[in-house]
Amino acid sequence: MVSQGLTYALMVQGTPYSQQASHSALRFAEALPAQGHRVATVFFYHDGVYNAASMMTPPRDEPHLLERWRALHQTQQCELLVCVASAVRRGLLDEGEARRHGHSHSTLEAPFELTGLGQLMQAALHHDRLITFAP
Amino acid sequence: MSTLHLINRSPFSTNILQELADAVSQGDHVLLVEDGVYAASGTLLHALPKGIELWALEEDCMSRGVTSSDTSKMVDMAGFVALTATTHRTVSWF
Repeated sequence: MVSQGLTYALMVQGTPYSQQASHSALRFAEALPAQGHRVATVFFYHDGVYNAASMMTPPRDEPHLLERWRALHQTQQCELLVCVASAVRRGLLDEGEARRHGHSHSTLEAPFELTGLGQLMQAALHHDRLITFAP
Repeated sequence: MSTLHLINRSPFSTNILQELADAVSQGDHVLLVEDGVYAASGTLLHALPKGIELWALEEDCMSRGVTSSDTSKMVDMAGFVALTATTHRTVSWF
C-alpha cells in the first residue's frame, strides 16, 4: 500500500553546522513534493532551536541553513515551530520574549514561531508521519 | 504495523544495533543514515534477526566512502521518502 499525498511533521534535534540533522531534514523535506507529499510542520527541539537564530551568518561558500528553512516555508507552506523552553534558555527570543526579559533585541523572527510541546503533540496527531532527525 | 527504524549513530560509538535487535519485528525496515552507514559494511548488521529489510542512504555512504554490502541495499533520498510512506511509522534511535 503506497499512500498518496501524505503530510509530514519533522522534528529537528540536531544543532546546525556541527551535526548533520538540519541537512538531513532539509534534504528529506525537499524530496517530499516529488512524491506528492509535503512537510506541514517542522518542530525544532533541544539544540535544534539554533536553526532559528535570526542572525545566523555563515561564510558565503557554505549552505545558509536559515535561508533554506525560509525557502522551505515558502515552497511548502510549512510552519516552523521552535520549542519555547529550549529556545529561551539558549538565548533565542522573539520580540515579545525579549521585551518580557528586558533585552533590547530579539534573536528569532518569523516565519519561525515560539511554541510549546502541545504543538508538537498536535502535529504528531494531525499529520500522517512524524520523522525525528536526531542529534 | 510495520515500522521504519532510523539509525544515525556510528556503530563504533553506540550499542544501538544490539538494542534494536531486541526491538524489531518481522517486516520492519532499518535505514542507516549519517554516521549510521558505517554499519553497512562488514558483519555488524548480522546482529539483527532475519526477516528485516536493511537499507543504507546512498548519499551518506558516498560522502563517507562506504561501499555497498550484501547485507544492506542502497536507497537514495527519494527511496528514504518512499520508505517512510510505505511503513506506518518511523522511529529514530539515538
